[in-house]
Amino acid sequence: MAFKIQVLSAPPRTIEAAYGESLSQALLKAGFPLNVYCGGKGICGKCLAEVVDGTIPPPDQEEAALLRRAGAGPRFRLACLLPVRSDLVVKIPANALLPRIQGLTAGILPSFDFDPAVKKFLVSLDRDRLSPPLLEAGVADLLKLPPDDAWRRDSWPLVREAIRSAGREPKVYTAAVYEEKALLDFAPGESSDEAFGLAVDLGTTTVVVELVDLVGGRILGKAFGLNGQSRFGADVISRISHAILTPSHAEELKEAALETLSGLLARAAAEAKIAPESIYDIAVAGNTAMNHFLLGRSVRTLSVAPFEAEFQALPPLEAYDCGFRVQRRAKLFISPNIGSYVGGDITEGLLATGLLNKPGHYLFIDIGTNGEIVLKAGDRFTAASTAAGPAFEGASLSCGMLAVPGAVDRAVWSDGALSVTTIGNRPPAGICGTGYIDLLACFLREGLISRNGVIAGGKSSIAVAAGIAVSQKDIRELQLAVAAVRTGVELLLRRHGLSPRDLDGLYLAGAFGNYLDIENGRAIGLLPEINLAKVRFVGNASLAGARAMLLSRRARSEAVRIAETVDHVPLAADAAFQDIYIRSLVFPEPTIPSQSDRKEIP
Amino acid sequence: MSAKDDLLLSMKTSVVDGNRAESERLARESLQAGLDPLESIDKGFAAGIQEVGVLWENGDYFLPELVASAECMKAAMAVLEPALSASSRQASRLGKAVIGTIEGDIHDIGKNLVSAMLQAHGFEVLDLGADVKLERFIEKAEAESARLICVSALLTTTMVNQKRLIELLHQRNVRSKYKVLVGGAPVNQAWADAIGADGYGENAMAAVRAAMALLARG
Repeated sequence: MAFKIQVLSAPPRTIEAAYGESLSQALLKAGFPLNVYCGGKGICGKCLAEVVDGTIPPPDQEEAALLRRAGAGPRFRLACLLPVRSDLVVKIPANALLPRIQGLTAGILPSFDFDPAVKKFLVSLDRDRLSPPLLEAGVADLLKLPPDDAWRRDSWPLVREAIRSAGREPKVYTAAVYEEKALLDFAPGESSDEAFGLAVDLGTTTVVVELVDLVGGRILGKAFGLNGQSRFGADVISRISHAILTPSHAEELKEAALETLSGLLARAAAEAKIAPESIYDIAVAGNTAMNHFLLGRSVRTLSVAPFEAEFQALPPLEAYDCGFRVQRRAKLFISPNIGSYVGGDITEGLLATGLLNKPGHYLFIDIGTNGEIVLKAGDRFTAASTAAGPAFEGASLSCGMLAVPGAVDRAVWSDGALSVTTIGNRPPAGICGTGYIDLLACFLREGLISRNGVIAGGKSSIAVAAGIAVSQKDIRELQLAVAAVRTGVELLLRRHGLSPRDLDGLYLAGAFGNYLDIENGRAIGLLPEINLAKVRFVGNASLAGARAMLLSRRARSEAVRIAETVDHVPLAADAAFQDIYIRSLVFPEPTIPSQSDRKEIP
Repeated sequence: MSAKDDLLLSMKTSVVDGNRAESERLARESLQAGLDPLESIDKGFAAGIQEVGVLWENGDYFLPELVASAECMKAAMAVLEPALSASSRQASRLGKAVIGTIEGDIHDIGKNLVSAMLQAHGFEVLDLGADVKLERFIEKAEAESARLICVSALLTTTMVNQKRLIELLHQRNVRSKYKVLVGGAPVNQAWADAIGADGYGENAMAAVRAAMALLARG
């Protein structure tokens, strides 16, 4: 038999509930964004509902205590503890709704329900609870943790020590629980709003950290800097070479990463005004080599063919033991690797696009020193990394530089002359990746270089600004880098019998991809011939994904599923690789920017 | 210009233009016209490859042109070679080279280009492929009485195996029988000198020059 529940709060609706079903279950089933923080176990006291009309049983002692602590008025009940036995009219207060997860609901990122792995609860220990024979199992019961061996061995000593240090007085304690399984913290006093997580994008060149509020879902602080491992080599391969020489080198790389992270953590914590000891969870998105280095794992198998990772997915680790100076029992989640050099950063990028559950054919490209490409062909995912080399980061080019102030980042051809802009409007000091893409496209359209990359008129370089030029050798380097990515895209499409026309969308991730001029990228062959309207920039998708790891357990399991679902293919082993690569060194036929393209942009 | 000179010039042009079908057609035509195949190779097709080398050095040609020209050479040789007398065949050969991408490395485009260019320039090339075990280079060179061993490595993590190969040649007491040529993106002259290689080529054309210089020195 079904009852009607009229919900007066926005979004107002009338839903149905079966006899005896809890009010929270009925609301969740109907898609109502109720915050059942503790999973409906009746321990967090957050899922408040005001019962305006209907017949309900009185609250028991536990619920009454939780309601008192929440300062709830007389008509309020906890939805998870209230069985429906009649038609009801209820109001749900705003503070019982799911927190809006910052940075996950915006843009293209799919929204994940707020459900962090680490949760904090208040626990009242009165005289009765404190009496020894019942104490141990009693506290486990209060936290809804199984009173098993793990509880006795790992969790109970924390509780015992906290109670002892508090003088065995009746008190309110705050407990931090991980994945509804393990106790991370148990301390006298009320600090249930002080639970923080650290999201990490561990890039080969740049590292970004973000402090996340695990109770309210907000971003509290952010810091970024150069990866300290850079002094051992600019790219992944040179760091791997360094690491495999002696164990002390591997240790150096680990220490360098930890040093970088602890510096950034300190900055972000200072900005957010929080103590590092209240960080309970860390999620790291990094490429395969980066996460191996961070954990001090061997990169020997990554150094030679077939270039396999030592691990794909790991269970949550002890952050403190891994070198992070955060809460003593904090956890460390490493985003699972897809295969070979395609690592957890790409897993998170894919998670952030929501591609796993999107019908159609999509391409995901993250261009850095390695150009990582993932093709979703129907329900099959294939990933490959291409050796684009550091040209797009400005390395190995005569006037190349990183995308920092003074770098030529844009170029257009107008009124018969080249005009460029620089980052920060500074006098030109060099050219960064996006600048080179624009320049090549202009040169091609204006016939300053031929399709095979030769500068017209027998010149050895083309002037860009005072003292800045693109040399013939630069063009050759860029041709090689472009061809690597182009070959990867073509090979993956071919494998699934697709052409660029069949693609429903192209996602561009990473800083370079984000500032890239799509039309120019297509003109030089770096990007496939795809309609501009189908291209989406996803920004730092790895960081967004890491943040999702902290705030949503479903996102976490989804990341694991992505790493398992996506197949890694070694492109160099493909018989057609060489032919396509050589062919891809020739720039595409110059085209006039299509007007029809532009019209489709909403 | 005589009809023969015309034909030789066309051969050269077909290679420079990377026109494979034309090279093959001209090779057949030269045989029908009764031209000495050795002369067709030397003054026609090989002259074309030399011209390609110049264009490469000038920066006018890049890898696609190089590959296309090597293909022309290959097609022409396939037609002309059976027609060569035993002595001419000997004369058309610069020497035998064993080539491969080093153990642990699977990147072999660079190696394939060197292989093609060596062949185009008259070397007899035994290409062992990629991820080639050190022992295999030596076994093959011994069995085929090769004079050159060319070893490519594309990663800093695998180039150390080039050094091991040279050490192994010493251990087997066969080092002096071979000229060892090393190459690959992370490899440079300093590395070649440090590991005691005989030569180094920054690119496919440079490798050919180095190989020729090594064999000329004997």
